[in-house]
Amino acid sequence: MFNFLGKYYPLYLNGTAQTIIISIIGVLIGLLLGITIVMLRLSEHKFARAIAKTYVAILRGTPSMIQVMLIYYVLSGLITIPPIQILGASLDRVIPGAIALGLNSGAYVSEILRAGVTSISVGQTEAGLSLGLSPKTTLYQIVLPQAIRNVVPALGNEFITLIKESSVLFYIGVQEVTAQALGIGGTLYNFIPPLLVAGLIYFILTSLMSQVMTLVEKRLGRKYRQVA
Amino acid sequence: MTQTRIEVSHLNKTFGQQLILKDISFKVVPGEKVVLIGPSGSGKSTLLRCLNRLESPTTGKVAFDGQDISQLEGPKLWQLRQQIGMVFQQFNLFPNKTVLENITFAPRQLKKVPTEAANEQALALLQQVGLADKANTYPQMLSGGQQQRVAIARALAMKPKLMLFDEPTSALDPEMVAEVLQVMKQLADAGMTMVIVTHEMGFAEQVADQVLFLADGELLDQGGPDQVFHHSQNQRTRSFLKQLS
Repeated sequence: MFNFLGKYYPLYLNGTAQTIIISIIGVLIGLLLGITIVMLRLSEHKFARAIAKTYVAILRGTPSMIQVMLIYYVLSGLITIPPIQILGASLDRVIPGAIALGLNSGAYVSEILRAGVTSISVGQTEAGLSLGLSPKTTLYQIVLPQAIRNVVPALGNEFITLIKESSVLFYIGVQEVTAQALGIGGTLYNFIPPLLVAGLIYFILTSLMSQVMTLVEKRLGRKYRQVA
Repeated sequence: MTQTRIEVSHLNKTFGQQLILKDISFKVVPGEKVVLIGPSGSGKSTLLRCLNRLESPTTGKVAFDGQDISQLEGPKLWQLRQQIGMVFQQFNLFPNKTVLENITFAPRQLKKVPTEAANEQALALLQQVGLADKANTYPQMLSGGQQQRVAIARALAMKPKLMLFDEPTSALDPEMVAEVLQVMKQLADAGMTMVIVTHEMGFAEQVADQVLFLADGELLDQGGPDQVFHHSQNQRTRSFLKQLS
């Protein structure tokens, strides 16, 4: 059933490389953007809060497939990215694709971080303020570090979702794992084995991600477990 | 040189439609210990929180060292709070920082005290509250009484001119109340200006220079401890104290 792998495995390797590249860029953009948006969301300025709310509402309320396609067409209309090939990935498709995933993920990450901030007791903020710290310092130095620790599992979920969501980039012609599997399936006139292989690859990637998040969680939780 | 550390005049505080504090006026002079007593819900904590502006008075004035602070905002407000220490019922230590880091954080951040000097000062403060051996422990490894003593040390690290205590022993197991009160007593004897909300009447009587009795947001009774605790003319004060004994 899986003999085809002998011939087609390089395509899967290429696809996997692309999925990994896209996911890493997407997670990084999502994280940075998420932090930026939650900063706006928790700011004292009404206008900043409105921007953050609108952003989250739009990105969360529309399908990522449409976002990806729109960003790809808009971006390729505005600037020309040379179709350089890296690890079998054509940059003029991979870059807009990864950006689109990151923009989408940023909305979710910001909401996860906001939930984390809300989970920290008001007493922490009051303790900071009563020492004479500014509200900003109190938020960034006292509340946010504790909040991030509380939301590591939720962030892990979001990153895993992003890895799986990256399959929508198939629609803009990124040759990632799903695209490769469909291509191979078309050649073989049988989609089931290639798709099973693709599923296994995603499973391995998401398992690795969840291992990484477990390590992060342990590392951030160290302080809380230390015995006197 | 000002003769009053805190002067509250005609302070009113409303939350929505509800009047929480009604026309409160009193003074605290440097070195004085003022104890706020009264039934729960009487507005004691709110009044205390108006003094370091965790709450804002709706109308009326609060002056600190002669300066009206009731409308302060921004950096000036933060500066003010550096001079006023506060100890909370729930301790509110930073759980992700060691005892030492809890104490040194504000001085390092706000006064740019070098790490070494800050640590030295923190250790001296820990010595003072009897916890020198806990410097590198995290708060959750400590008992409630120990946490509260660290919280006092943390507030003292900013060298405040006034210390506010919001029911500092109410969340403690009975056997830990004494150790916290003892630290507060030391602080009082050392001449710190203190405003204390408490239900520990024995302690209040021992330490207070002035006792304020608050009920339903009104300052109903006010005087020296002997006066308020034993010779009060006020019916509400007498029945409140009777309930407790």
